[in-house]
Formats: sequence, C-alpha cells, structure tokens
Amino acid sequence: MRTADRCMNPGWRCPRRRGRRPAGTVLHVFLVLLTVTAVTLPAAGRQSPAPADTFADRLDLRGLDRLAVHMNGRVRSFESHATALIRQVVGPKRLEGRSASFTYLDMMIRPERYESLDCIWVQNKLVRGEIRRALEASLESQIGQFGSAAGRLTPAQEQGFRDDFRRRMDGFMSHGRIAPVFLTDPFVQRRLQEMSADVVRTAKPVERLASAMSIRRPEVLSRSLNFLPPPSGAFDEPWHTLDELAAAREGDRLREGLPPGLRDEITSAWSRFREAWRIENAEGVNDAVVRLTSLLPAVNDDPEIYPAAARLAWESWYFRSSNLVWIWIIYGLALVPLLLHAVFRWPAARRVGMAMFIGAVLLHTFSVMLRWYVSGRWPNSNMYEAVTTSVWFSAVFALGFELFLRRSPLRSLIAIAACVASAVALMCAHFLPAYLDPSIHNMMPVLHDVWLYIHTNVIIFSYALIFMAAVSAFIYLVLRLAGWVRGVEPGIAHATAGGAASLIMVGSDGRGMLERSRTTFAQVLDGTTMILMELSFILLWAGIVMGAIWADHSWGRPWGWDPKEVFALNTFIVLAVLVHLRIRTRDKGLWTAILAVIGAAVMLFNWVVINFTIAGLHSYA
Amino acid sequence: MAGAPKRLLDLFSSIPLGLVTLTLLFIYSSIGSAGIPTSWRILEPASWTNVREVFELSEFEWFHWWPFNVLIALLCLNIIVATIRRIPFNVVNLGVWMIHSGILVIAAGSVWYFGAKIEGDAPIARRQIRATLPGGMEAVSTAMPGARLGFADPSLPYRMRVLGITPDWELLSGDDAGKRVYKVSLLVDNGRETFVRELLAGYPQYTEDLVRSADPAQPWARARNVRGTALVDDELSVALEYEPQSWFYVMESRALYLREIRRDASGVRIPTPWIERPIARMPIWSDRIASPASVWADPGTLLPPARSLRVDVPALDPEDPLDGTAIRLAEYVRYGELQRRRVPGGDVLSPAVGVTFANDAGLRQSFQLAVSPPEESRVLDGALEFHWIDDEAALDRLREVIAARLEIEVPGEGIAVTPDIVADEQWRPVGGGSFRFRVMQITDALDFGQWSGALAVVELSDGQRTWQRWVFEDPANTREAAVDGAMSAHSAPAVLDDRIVTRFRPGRRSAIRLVAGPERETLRLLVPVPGGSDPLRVVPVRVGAPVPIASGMTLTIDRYAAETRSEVRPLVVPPNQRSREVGLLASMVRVSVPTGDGYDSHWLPFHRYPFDSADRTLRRYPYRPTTVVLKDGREIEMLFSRRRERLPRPAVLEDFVVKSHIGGFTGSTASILDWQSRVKFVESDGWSDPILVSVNQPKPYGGLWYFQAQWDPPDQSRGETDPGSAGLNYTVLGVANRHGVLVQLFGCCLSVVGMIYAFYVKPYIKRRRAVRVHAELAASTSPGRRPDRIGAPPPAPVEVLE
Repeated sequence: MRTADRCMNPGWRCPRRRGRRPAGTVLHVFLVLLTVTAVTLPAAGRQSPAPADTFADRLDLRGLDRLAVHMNGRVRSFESHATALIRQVVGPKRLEGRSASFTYLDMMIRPERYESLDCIWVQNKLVRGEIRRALEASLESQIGQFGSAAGRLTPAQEQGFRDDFRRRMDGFMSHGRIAPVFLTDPFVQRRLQEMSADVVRTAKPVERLASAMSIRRPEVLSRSLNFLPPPSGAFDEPWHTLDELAAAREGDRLREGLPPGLRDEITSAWSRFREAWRIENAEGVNDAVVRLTSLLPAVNDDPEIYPAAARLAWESWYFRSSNLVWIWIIYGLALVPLLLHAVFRWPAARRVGMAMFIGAVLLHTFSVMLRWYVSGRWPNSNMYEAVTTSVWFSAVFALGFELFLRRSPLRSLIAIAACVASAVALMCAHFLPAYLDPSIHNMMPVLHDVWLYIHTNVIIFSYALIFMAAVSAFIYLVLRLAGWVRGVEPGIAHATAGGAASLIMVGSDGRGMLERSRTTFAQVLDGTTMILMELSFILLWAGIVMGAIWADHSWGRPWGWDPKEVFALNTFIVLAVLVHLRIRTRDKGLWTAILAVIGAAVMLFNWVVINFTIAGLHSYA
Repeated sequence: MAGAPKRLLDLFSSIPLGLVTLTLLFIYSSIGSAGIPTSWRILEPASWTNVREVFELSEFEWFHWWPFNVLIALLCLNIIVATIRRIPFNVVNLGVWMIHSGILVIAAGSVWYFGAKIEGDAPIARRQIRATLPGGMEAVSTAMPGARLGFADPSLPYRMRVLGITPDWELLSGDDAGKRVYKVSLLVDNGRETFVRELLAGYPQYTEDLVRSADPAQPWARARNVRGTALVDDELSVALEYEPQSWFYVMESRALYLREIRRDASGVRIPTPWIERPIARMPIWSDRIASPASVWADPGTLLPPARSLRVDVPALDPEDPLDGTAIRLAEYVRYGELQRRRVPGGDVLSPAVGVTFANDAGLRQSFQLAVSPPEESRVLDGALEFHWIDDEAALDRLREVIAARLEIEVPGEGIAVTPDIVADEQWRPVGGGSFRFRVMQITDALDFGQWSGALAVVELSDGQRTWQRWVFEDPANTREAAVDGAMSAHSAPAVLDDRIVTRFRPGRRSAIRLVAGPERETLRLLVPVPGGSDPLRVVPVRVGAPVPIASGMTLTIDRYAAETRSEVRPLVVPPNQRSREVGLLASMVRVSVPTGDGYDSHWLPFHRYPFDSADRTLRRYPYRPTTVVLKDGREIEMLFSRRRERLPRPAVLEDFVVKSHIGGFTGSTASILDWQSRVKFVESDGWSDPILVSVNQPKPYGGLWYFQAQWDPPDQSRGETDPGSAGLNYTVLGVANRHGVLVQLFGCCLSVVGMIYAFYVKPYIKRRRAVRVHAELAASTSPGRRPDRIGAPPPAPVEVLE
C-alpha cells in the first residue's frame, strides 16, 4: 500500500525502521544546504556583480553608516535614507551592483554618468510597452529624416542602429530600467502626458515615473541630504544640508549657531568630499568621510536629536542585509524534513526540521526586534511590517505549540504550516519589494494609538492562523485527491471531536481523540485545521471588535462599511459557515478543508486586492 | 404543533437556512463592497465594476438597503428560533447561547445605532477680521490669506487685504514672551496712504502698524519707531475675533440653498440667510444628461445615453423665498467642469475660433479664442492673438513688429539702452561707473487689480547695494523693492534712488496673429518671418487645413464663426480621467426654476459648504452661487451643497496647532504627529470650557462627539495677488452621535466570551463528564476493582457545538 493510501485508512501508524538511517542522508544534505545558504545569504538581493570601477572599488563609505539624515520627521542612517530614495529611482534592485549609498552620492555629484545609463525603473509593464512603442515611433521618425533614405547613413549603419535599439528595448521590457535620455524624447513625453490623464490605469505609474525622474536630479538629492542637526538643540528645529551651511551668510541663524571652527571644518570636509568624488579621488573621499563622521555628530550630541552611532550602524546593516527577508530560504528548507517527519514519522527528520525551524524563528525574531529598535516603534504600521510581523506571530505560535505539545499527534504539522506561511510571506517581501516597501517611515497621525498595537496585532495574527489552517487543509485535500486518483475508497476522515476538543477530550481508552489506534493522518490534518480555525475564529472576531472600538473614537463610527472592514467580516462569515456546516454535513473533513482554503482566499483578497486595488480608509495597512 | 406553523418553525430553526443566509450575506457584501471583476486582472482597478453604481447607492446606503435588512432579519430570526428549539440551555451549551445572544444584541444595537446615526463635518475658521469706523460702519471677513475687506458704503476710501497670516508667531516681549500666537497682517489703503496693520489673536494691545521705509533692505518699518505712534490711522479699528460656526454638514447628503438678495436705496446687496431645501433622492454615480447639446464634450468622450432627471425639490421652510414652488433638478453631471464657450448663433458680430497646434511628435493642444473680451483674444502667454479688422489698413498695422525698449540713465554716468530686451538676467553696465542692471522679467499685461500694464522687472546695483525696480510703461506706477523683500501690489509708487532714471516701452512681440475680416468669412494668419524685425507674413487659412507655422509645427483652424454667443455648460470629464479623491466636488446639477413667466435653467456646481458670502469662504473651497431674477424683479441666489444640521451651540476655534516629529513640520504629512483643535462653545452665559480635540481623541459636547477630521495645510501662492498660505487657518471637525455603541460592544464581548467557552471550556466539561461516566460504568461492571484503564465502549463522539 502506498503512503497516500495508507494515510487515508484507519490504523496508519508511523513507520519505524530501526537499524537503518534513511534520514541520515537527508540530514547531511540539509546541513550542507544550510551552510551554503548561510554563506551566500548576505549576497542575496544583488542583481549582478559590479563592473570593474577602480574608483568605486577603492571607496570606503562605511563611515557614512553612522551619519544621521533627517527626512520628513524621521532621523535615519544615511544608508537607510539612500535606500529609500534610490529605490524610488532605480527600483528594488541595486544599480550596477553598487550600494544605495554609492548610487545616491554618485547620482548627486556626477549626474552626467546617468543620463544614458538605464537607471530609471518603470514598474508598470503597460507603461513600459507604451514607452517602447513611442520610442519606436521616434526612431522611425529619426531614421526617416537622417537614415539611409536621406543619404546620411548607410543601410548597414541604419540596421546597426535598429539592432542596438531593439536589444536595449528588450532589456528594458525585461528588467524595467531605462535611461533618462529616452524619457525626455518628445514622442515619449507626449505618450506619458496622455497616459497621465488616464487616472484609472496609468496615471499613478506615470506619476511615479515623474517622481523618479525628479528625485534623480542632483539638486533634489542634494536638498534631501539633511546631514546637519539643529545646533540649537531644539527638537522641532529643522535640519539642514551641508550645502545650506556652506551658503549661509553672516548673521544667518544656521551659521551663527555653530562654533566657527566646527562650521569651517564641516564645510571644508564637505567641499573636499564633493570635489574628490567629482575627480574620482577615492582616497580623498575616504578621508573626507572619516572627517565628516567625526564632525557631524559633534554638532549636537543630544541623544534625543542625534541617534547613537550603534543605532545608525544597525539600521544601515539592516537595510544592507536586505531586511533579512532571505530567511524565507531557511523556512523553505525546514519544510522538507518536517514534511518527511509528518508523513514517515522519522525522528531524525523532525530533529533536523525543528532545528532549522528554530533557527529561522530566531533569525526572524532578530529581524523583527531589530526593525523595532531602529524604527523606534513596533513594526506593524504598513504593509511590509504587517506581513512580516504577521508570520512572525505564526512562527512563534508554532514554536510554542511544537515545544509544549511535542507529544501530541499534531507535532510537526503546526510547524509545517508556519513554515509555509512564513516562507510565502517573506518571499513576497523579498521578490515584490515594489509592493511591500521595507522603507521605514513615520506612522500616519491616526495610527498613534494604543489600539494600533492591540487591534492590528490581533487581526494580523488571526490572518496568519487562517493561512496556516489553509496549509493543513490543502495537504488534507491533496491526500483526498491522491486517494481519489488512485481509486482508493476515500472514506470520511475528520477529527470527531473538532479542534481544541480533540486535544482536550479523551476517548474510552483514556487517550486523546487523535491518539487512538484508528486515527488516520487525514484525521490529524483535519484536527490541525480545526484547531487553527477555532483560534483564528475567535481572534478575527475579537480583532474586528477591537477595530470597531478604535474606529468609533477615531473616525466617529465603529463601522463604516469600508471594504477592508467588509472583507474582514466576510472572512469571519466563511469561518462561521465552516463551523455550522461541520455540524450538518457528513463529510466534515472535506468541507472543513474546502472552507478553510476559501477563508484564506478571502483573507488574502482582503490583504492584496482590497489594499492595492480598491481604496478605502485602511489603505495604509 | 403540526402543519404549516411547525414546518415554518422547522424552516427557521434549520441550519441550512442559516448557511444559505450567511452565504447570501457574503455574496451581497462582496459585490457591494468590491464590485464584480470583469477580467482576470483583478489587481487592475479597471477590472472591477461597481455594482452599487447601477443602483445609485452609496456604500452606506447599500448596507442599509432592504435586501440587506431582510437578510439580517432572516439571520436573526434563524438564530433565535434555532437556539430556542435546538440548543438546550445548559452548562454545556452556554457558549453557543452566549455567541448567538451576542450576535442578536449586536444586531439590536446596530438598529439603534444606524437608525439614529447622524454624521457630518463642521469647518471652523480660526478668526474673523472685523474693521470698524466711527459711526458703526463695519466690514467683516474670515481671516484667510488674500481675503479682502471693504465697507458696504462704496464712497469710503478704505481698501483692505490680508497680506499674510503667520499661524505661530512667536511673541518676543511682554509677559508671554516665547508664546506662539496667530498673527494677521492686513494691508490697508485708506485713500491717503498704504500701511500694514499687524493683529495678534488674543493680544489686541499689541496691534500696531507698519509703514513704508526708505530702506530697500527693510521696506516696512514699525510706525512706532518711524512716527512715534503705533497706529497711523486711529479712526480705523480692526480686531481679530472668533468665527462662530453654528452648523455641521451631513455626509452623503445634498441640498439646494436659496436666499433672496435685497438691495438698499444705494443699491448695496443685502443677502437674506440661506434657506435649505433637502434633496431626498438623486443619482450619485451616473450622469443624467438630457441631450448632448446640454454639455461640452471633448472629441472621443463617450457620453451616456440621453436621459433626463426629474427630481422636484419642494420648499420645506416657510421662510423659503420661493415658497410653494418646487425647483426641478433636470440634469446631473457627476464629474465635470463648468466652462464658458462660444457657439455659433445670434446676429451680433462676435468672431470666435477654435485652433489646434500640433507638432511632429503628435503633441496637440487646442484653444478657443474670441475677439472680445480681450482676455479671450490671446493664449500661450500672448504667443497667439486673434483680431478682427475692419479694413486692410488695420492688417498692415498688425503686421508691424515693434521691439520692446528699456532705457536706464544715470545722469553723469551714462545711459544704457536695451532695444528688444529679453529677461536674460545678465548684468549690464550703465556708463563706466559702478552702476549696473539686469532684466529679470518682462510682462506684457500684468494685472494687479488696481493697476495693470506692461512691466519690466529690473535689478539695479550701485556697487553698494542691490534692489529691484518694477519699471512700468506708465512712469507713475514705477516702484522699487528689496531683492529679498516681497514686492507689494499695494505699495505706494516709490523710487528709492532717483539718480537712476528708467524708461520702458513695451514691444509688440512677433506673436502669431490670427486675423478675421474685413469680410466675415476671411481668415488670415500673420506669421513671424525668421529674423524677427520684418513685417509678419500673411498666410490665408481655411477651416480644417493645417498651416505650417514653424519647423515641425502646424496650426489648424478647427472651427470659426463670425456671429457667436457664449454659453456656460459643464465639460464632461471622461470616466478614465476621473480621480476618486475628488468625490462629489466636481459634480453639478441643472435646475429649472420658475421665474413667473417661464422657467430659468442654470447649472449649479457642488459646494462642500454653503458659505454666506465670498469673504466668509475657506481657502480651497469654491463659492460660486447663481442668481436668478424673477419676473417680479426679485433676485434669488441659489447654491448646490449638502444638508446641514445645527450644532448644539455655536463653536469657535480657540487654537489649532500641528504637533510634529523631530525637525518640525517639513510640509510633508509624514512629519506630522498630531493635529489639535481647541474648541469652545458659545453658551447663554459665556463660553463653555474649551475641549481639546485631536486625532484619536474625540470629545463630547451637547450630545454630539467631535473628531479631528481635516486641516488647512500650507498652500503655495496661486497668483500674483495671492500671498500663499502657511496653513492652520481653520480646522474641520467630524461631528457625530453614538447611540447604541455600548450595546454593540456588549454584544461583541458576549460573543467573544461565548466562543472561548464553546471551543475551550466546553471540551473540559465534557471530558470531565465522560471520565465520570466511564468510571461509573467501569465500577458497575467490575465491582471492587478500581478502573485504571477505561475499557468500556466509548460513548458516541459529540461535536463541539452540538
């Protein structure tokens, strides 16, 4: 009997093959993989190796990690600042494999390098296609005027132009980056102008493109570089750029607030920095960086104003390490041994799987705590934070469950569900940074409330549980489908006592309802789904209620039929249908699994489609 | 019980009915909230069709429509009957009872809550400016940047305008030094001189005037220092007072407002108070256009099928100026812009033309020009002009190109003559000395209200200092300002260094001129000849034929008529160009008003607030009432806005501040931590205690709750007479009642406790019972033996919720 068949039949027990170590090889493979992953992870996120550039290679900008920059009410490390701004220009991947700090400074000081470099990222593929078409029309117009027909080019030269253009456009359509010089073409400008009028489809992408073109301008980058804290020490005094300090005249408050020696040293170091960069004198740049690193924090050493160097360094490291979202790989790897244990009950596989899972959870915890530390607030106030924190809740819950109920028949299944949830969520954060922007910003004023921490955390935890329940339900459905495909009598497998009751109640033999001899794997899966569904049922409802309490004192109404509210309620309705259909139907396991998957689909619809497509009051979450 | 009643009870206590109801609720909510996808690209907003639009329902109305109410009622009935009939009330089922009871309590609380719900918003300005003259003559205006004040008596010479508002002016002296207050700078022209009156909210004792100084670096000086008196005009008393708000405006509502305009003996308008006519039911989403001729539509705009509106809005208030007469809403445009355009017709010579510029890249831009009024005769900053000529001699005059000329003379030093001047900002010497100048700006037609004309803005330097001189064609208007000081339109003409003599003659730039006449059908284009100084080239043109006017650029006459009349209609914005954030602000309705001898038809644009007058408006919100003259000569003013409700007491805004993150407010919302409105109410015996309303911190007063809803952000200047705004001139408070919230909350808590009980407590109760039963069974089958392992057949498994 095949494994799937056995799983669907009563009396399935864990196969124990003493004397053989089938898991040993698996263990070895995964240890190797883990090692390889650990070595290669820091490089994750890089697009391609940097081209040889002796100036860039000789630069040492690490000192800038400990410099603070003020931007829109937040003081952050320079690397964090550069990442946030440059991401809007070049997209989520590094330009030429260089750090955001380098690209920022180079774009600011040597803007001419970027005129014909593919450095402006166009996210929307529809807009990309339209730009390409406009450029093709422009090319044809140019060739009509200056091409072989006009006698200015030979046919071979003309063909060469066409081939180069096609290659470049193919690259643009693929990676999404285009040179600014193309975007200023009149044909492109005209098309962009037309597209900006279409507010339903293309206005926003065109607006983002215009924003990228604006941000890359050296004066904008320079104006955003508020390195200089207020010498007065006042909390609400504005920060300034070093260019402003250099331009300040006698009697200016900014100039007079600084001791002359310090002021002159700063402006001199900044001037040397810019000049050395412009003439590609790496040593000069490095010296100026060292000087600025020591001078700028001295302007105002109040920790309320100028953050500690350690905090700034950690923030820089956090962003340079791709926000640690590559942890999804470890979660993904942990899945395999945990699945092997769930199906074959190999103890070694569980040990390996749990070791990797615990490692992933610890790293994940470190990532969440680090973000908390550098942002100064619990990370749950934007989409990125909600998604990554949500699955962190699920991972911690699963870890606790696996540790405290390690003898229960559900062992490994909760961890598997958490691994899938965490891996999927962190993969999204890793591969879709345009949608899940990891930049740290201040919260909207309306979010400054204790209910943000109560309502939001409860809701996102319930969402993570709903997803986990869908994982076990999905495995259940696969099992049922496999049995059906193989022509095995499917039977009706479900946890007879329900969810938590399966762990609490005992049968006539004194054993738990899922520990009896006739318990099947499918019943265990159904019990897992129900345990997760019951908890999410309560948390989702409680979260909705808490949201209503918050909305009542924030917006003046506990319930406003906002799409986000409606679909949270719809998710609850699906769970309510599940609970009641389970009373009524004979094939409880099947319907539970189907509705658990539907519930997760509605929850994801709420999180993805409602957030990105259908506007509402909750568009920030 | 048997028969039909039992079958009915069975039906209402059945789980399948509950499941069907829940499923229907799910479907209803989903399509009402998100809509229906029309393609698989569900992440594209265009892929979603809003079902509510078909039924002309808002979100709130969709979820209070009868199908939803029926479903909720059915669910409640199902819960009640099923719980009573199928779930015995005992300790095991206590959780289910609590859940079901909780749901029913929520439903009951919601009926109360939504049945009594009223919600709206109240804008409250920070201050009003009250100017008083001896004899009691008053002028009042809301304190807004650029607001104008004038006394009703036109013979009084006073002209006043808010030059600027500083919302957080720091007091530098006195007992409250360091405190930040609201400061208004009022530019006053009393017919004798121009001065600035500085007003500080809450500190009338610090009111003082600024007068012009001779120092270009400091153009205004304190009158106290210059003349030894704080006020240069003692007769004019100006005060900053609270601006009471007595109303709040109901969300998702619409109403017409009417009032009669009376006139006194001298013809001065005396408007009566607005009278509201609520509009009970009208479309929200879809246009109702009786005919394509009712609106303007750009080429390619697909208009909806012709379908008029027939909504009568009766008078409900006995004070209504048209009491007894219903006003009919005849058409509705959801998203448009009122535009005045020319249409062929009439018998008065009034030539108008529509032209389109196009370049090789396909960029097109269309304009409409008319010979009169003058502002409609030129576009693109004067690059294209439209003229009518009565004879060919006029054409020759129009062909002439006259260069602009600027002369700057410093007697004894020399003279600089700049023919055909351009604003190139290049320094040029005057003679051989240290005097030099540069041209900053050339304007053909500056309009500053009091005076207008051609202007050259010149920066002058005598080697020691630099200042700006505004050189007008009329030397009487020429004046100067410091380079870093604001040039004031109301500043008195003054030349600070009369050693420098300036003369400016504006040129007639080599613009493209479109000329109609002397025959009505003759159209000619005058195009500049390369080189610039030769007379313009005459090119005959006809409608529809493109004419090359420059390299890669053509001009096409789209339409032309010699006899035209102007009409105001809404330009319908195509659906894909409609921004969701605009809401109803771009909507308008055409009303049909009985005038006594027929009907008058007018388009009324939507107003967020029905302000009392133009000088009581808030920045950013339009005020465009429409006047209808009845047969009996009465003037009726109308306005389309929202319904209003009276606040328990008039509210005033004592203070409004923005709390910011580190570094202060940078102009970005991200730097804002909180908005705080300190509000108090006018009570019969004085003021109420102030309440501090901020985000997430609503406050109650008089049975209503007040929430921080919107604010007045900083705003850049919108024109030469607009000083721009630093914001914080008003707050907008959300106003709502909250009946039944505690009942809803109790229901929610009850259901949460019930869920915990049902899922986690009940299994323990059942486990205990099962163990006891098994133990008893074991004891009864094996007397004298203590059961260590239960071997009896287990009881049938029970479901958690059964």
